[in-house]
Amino acid sequence: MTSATSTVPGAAILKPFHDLASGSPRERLIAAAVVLPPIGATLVLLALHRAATQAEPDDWQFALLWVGFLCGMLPLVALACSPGITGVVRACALAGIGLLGTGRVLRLPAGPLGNDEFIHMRQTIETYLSGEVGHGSGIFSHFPGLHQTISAFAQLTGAPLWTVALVVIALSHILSVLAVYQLVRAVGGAPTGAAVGAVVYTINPSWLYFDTSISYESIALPVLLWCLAAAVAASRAPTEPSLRYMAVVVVCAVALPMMHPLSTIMLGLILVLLIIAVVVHSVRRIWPERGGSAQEHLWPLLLAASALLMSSTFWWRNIRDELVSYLGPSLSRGWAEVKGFTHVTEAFQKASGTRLPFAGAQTPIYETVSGLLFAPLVLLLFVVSVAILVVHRRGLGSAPWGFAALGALFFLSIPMALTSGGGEGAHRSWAFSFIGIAVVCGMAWSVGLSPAVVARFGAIGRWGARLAEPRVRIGVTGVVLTVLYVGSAALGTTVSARFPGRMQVGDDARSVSREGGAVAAWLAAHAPVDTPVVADRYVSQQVGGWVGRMAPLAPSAAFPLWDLYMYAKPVPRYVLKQVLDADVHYFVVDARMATTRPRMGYWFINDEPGGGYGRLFPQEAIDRFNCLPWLRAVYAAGPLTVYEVDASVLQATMAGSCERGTHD
Amino acid sequence: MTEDTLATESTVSAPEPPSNEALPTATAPAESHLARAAAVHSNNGHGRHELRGGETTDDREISLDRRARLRLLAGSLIGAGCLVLAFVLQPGAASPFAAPSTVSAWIALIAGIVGIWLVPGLWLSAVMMRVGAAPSARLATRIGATLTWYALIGPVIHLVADGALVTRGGVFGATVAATAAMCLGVVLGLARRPANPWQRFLIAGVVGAFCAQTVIWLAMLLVTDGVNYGQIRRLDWLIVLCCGLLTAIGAHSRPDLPLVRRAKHIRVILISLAVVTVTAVVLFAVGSIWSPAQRTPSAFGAEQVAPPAGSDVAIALTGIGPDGPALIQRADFTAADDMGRPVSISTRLLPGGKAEPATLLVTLAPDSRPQLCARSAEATGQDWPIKLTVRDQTSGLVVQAVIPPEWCVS
Repeated sequence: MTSATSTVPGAAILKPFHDLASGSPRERLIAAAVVLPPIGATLVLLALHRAATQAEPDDWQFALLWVGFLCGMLPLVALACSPGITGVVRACALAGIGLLGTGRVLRLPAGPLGNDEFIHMRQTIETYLSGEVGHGSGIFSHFPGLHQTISAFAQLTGAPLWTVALVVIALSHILSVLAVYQLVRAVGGAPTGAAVGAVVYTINPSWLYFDTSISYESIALPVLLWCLAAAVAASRAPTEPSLRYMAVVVVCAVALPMMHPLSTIMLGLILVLLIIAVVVHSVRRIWPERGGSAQEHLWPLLLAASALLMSSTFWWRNIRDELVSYLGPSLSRGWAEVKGFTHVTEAFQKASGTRLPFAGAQTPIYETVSGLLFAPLVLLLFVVSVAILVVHRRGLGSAPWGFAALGALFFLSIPMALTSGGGEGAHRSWAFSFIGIAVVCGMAWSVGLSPAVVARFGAIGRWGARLAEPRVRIGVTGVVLTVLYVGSAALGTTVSARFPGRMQVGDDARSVSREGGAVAAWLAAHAPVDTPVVADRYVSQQVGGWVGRMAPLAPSAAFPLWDLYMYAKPVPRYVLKQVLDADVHYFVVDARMATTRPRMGYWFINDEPGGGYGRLFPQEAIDRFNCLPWLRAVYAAGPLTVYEVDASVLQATMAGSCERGTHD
Repeated sequence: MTEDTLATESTVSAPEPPSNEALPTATAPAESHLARAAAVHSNNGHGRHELRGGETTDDREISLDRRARLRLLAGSLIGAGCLVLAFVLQPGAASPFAAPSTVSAWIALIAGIVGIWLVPGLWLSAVMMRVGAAPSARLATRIGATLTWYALIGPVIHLVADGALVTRGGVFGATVAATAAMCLGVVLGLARRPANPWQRFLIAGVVGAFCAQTVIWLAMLLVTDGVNYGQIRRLDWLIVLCCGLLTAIGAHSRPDLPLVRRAKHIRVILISLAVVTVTAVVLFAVGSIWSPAQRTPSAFGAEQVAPPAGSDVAIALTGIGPDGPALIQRADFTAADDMGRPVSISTRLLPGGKAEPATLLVTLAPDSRPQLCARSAEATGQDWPIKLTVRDQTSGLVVQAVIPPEWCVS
């Protein structure tokens, strides 16, 4: 008797597995969503392992990745979007989608990759070790939200900092899916439609890779979405909105400006769009024949916008110029190039400077094709969704149209993405414009369209109406979703950022090296924190990162310390003066500068002389580090050599070359 | 099957409709239901709706509110207790890179995770924040509240304390203090008197502020070793004000917790957690056999060390990576002066131990003395050291050793 009763809960828990073969379609789906994601995640891991062992990317790594990803993701998507499941099951499925979408972190077992991750982990470790709120004077130091969260979690649990960082990003990624779901619900979507909206959001090209890096937008974007969901829910409340919604809005508005600048600005713009939509909606309701739709509250949106404005004014009061110089160049360059396209004659001339999608990419053909199909497919989805909403426009309110305008920005950004100057800016806007696409698609799915209505539109309509048949619908949805996921990943980032592989000099994602780590550790052991060091961008990641904790100085046109590396002619006296003024203690020289072109085309910054073409530096310039009397190679690790500056000798000689007696 | 509707302990009094999840209405729930219910309850029963067994809607509302408050109280106290446990058990100077290595560190880790999940997310999402009523909305609110709290708490402390550093104790203290204030408010909210919402709010605020001030006084009196109360003394009024406000909110607001979970909900959550756990374990096991980490070539490092007697220069060689020691064995060293002219040397490699680096002993040929010393003398007459550039012809590694000027004299 006792044993019988004690086995009941276990049997209940395992019930879905028993139903795998014999249960209803929904039970089989639940069982698949339980069993397949772990298998899929394992296949993704094996794909990464495969890539790590190959000199060049091969078909197997891509195939394993996509089989694993789709094997895990599609059952979860199907479960999240299926009708008639409980809210708990749907929440778990949506959280599972968010978690599986964080699969990129499998690439990061040991530590950061890429410039942003090193910078943010440096900020985090300073917060953790010394309690600083923003270390140094870089732009990242003014946005400590991510660093504070990671540091607080690590301090309160005692877990390793890197593991905690991955957990925070995973939580944020889950929040992004749940928040989009809730946003569509707030706009008025049904649970299935809201889940469809959340899934549509996950196909944005930033979601899978860019938004899972250990970087400040990875936490700010979900908070933005959460804030938006609360603001929209409050504005569409049938009676007086709850203060609890406004509490979310105010807390997010306070937190967001110290998390990420672009997310704050974009939230402000989205709120302006929604405010305009509500105002237009309210004006239209004045006419009796336009009545029928529910009243909407303007004040929650106004409050959200005002709180955001005040908060950003407060947090950014001392960094406005820095922000403008940080955000300005990519916007202005992109805008200038887009303006060039508006003049027909100039457009043809500029065509030679246009970026060709997937030019030189290492992606397999099906990824390239999917990438090229991505924008047209999304456009088709968007147009059909907007058409459905227009048909069912009565009672929808204003928010769907505000979000439709936001979604349209994605398609307007495509030309900018093809320019070399605006490519990055356009790319970064997609995570925001896709909010609009997600809401529109989710709402369209919610209101639906009768196949009988579709069938009226001639042969195409009759063909379209066939899609309503369950088997056809599932098949088509699966294929479309697969194409969109594959295409978005191909558009989202480079192969070297997606997969491990052969180490490549001058590539952010592949240039982390043992010798760089050794140099960073040596400097950490021999020099105080924040000692000024000059090194190329790739070594600077590790030297200035959470291990080295130095202060890498980036040369620029006004601070041309790259003269020491790039030119064989004697180093100008004013450059030597800058070495003294900046109190440079160490130069790190990579011997490969004279023999290997950096993959990203530059060693220090994009605007360096010859930047973008990856020119080789003269061997004479690299060898000069050995003979300048004020430098000494105090440590070497593989091709990297650390030269210590003797400031007194430099001051005494001001030697810019190895020729004695010509120093002055 | 149905989705959870706006189902909260304090709102549901009827069976869930047989439809999907209801649209979130975002309507303001009455914030002081207990007080209102108590007032109505004491009003000779006017306006009460009688249910089966003589229970009225007001009785039921009060009962649900009490249950929600007790659940919230229990969860928050457990969370705060876990944070305290983690704080006490954590080793003092834990490395930010190392995994826990002792039993107490592992207990602290688990307690810390539970604590962070419960505090302050539970009370923030139950009493102050909301984006919907469905489980997904509650999960989003819990995650969002937790992330924003820990993102904001440091900068806020830094700001109000005139740029003070944010220590572990600061984050811990602020979180636990806020939780304690809220818990006090939740306890005060259990009382039926006074019935007037504003009176309840004010009295709870005063009680919260008084308790906060008392705790600060007692702490300053009793705990004096190694604690700097400078900032707390300066921010005393702000701490007291915030605690009073939180207590008042806790007393005034009705906790909005999900309905007591049914077996099927618990089953779904357990299965989900099991899937996540199994996936993590499988990935860890598979990853340890077939690592997805970026392959980085081995190398070796070199740095001058003090030479033993009989050698002019000694360079410590450290293997970096699994093939590092082999690379050291294959190295072929040559030397040059600082102008790149070859210098005759003889080398000998002393193998290192497991933790000890290998040492390259360099002896300069006597005939190199004029070359190196003349170079030093011709500089500018100053007594600068002589640099000897040592290069591994196999890997291209370059390091310099300094020969003291006395070497030229001898």
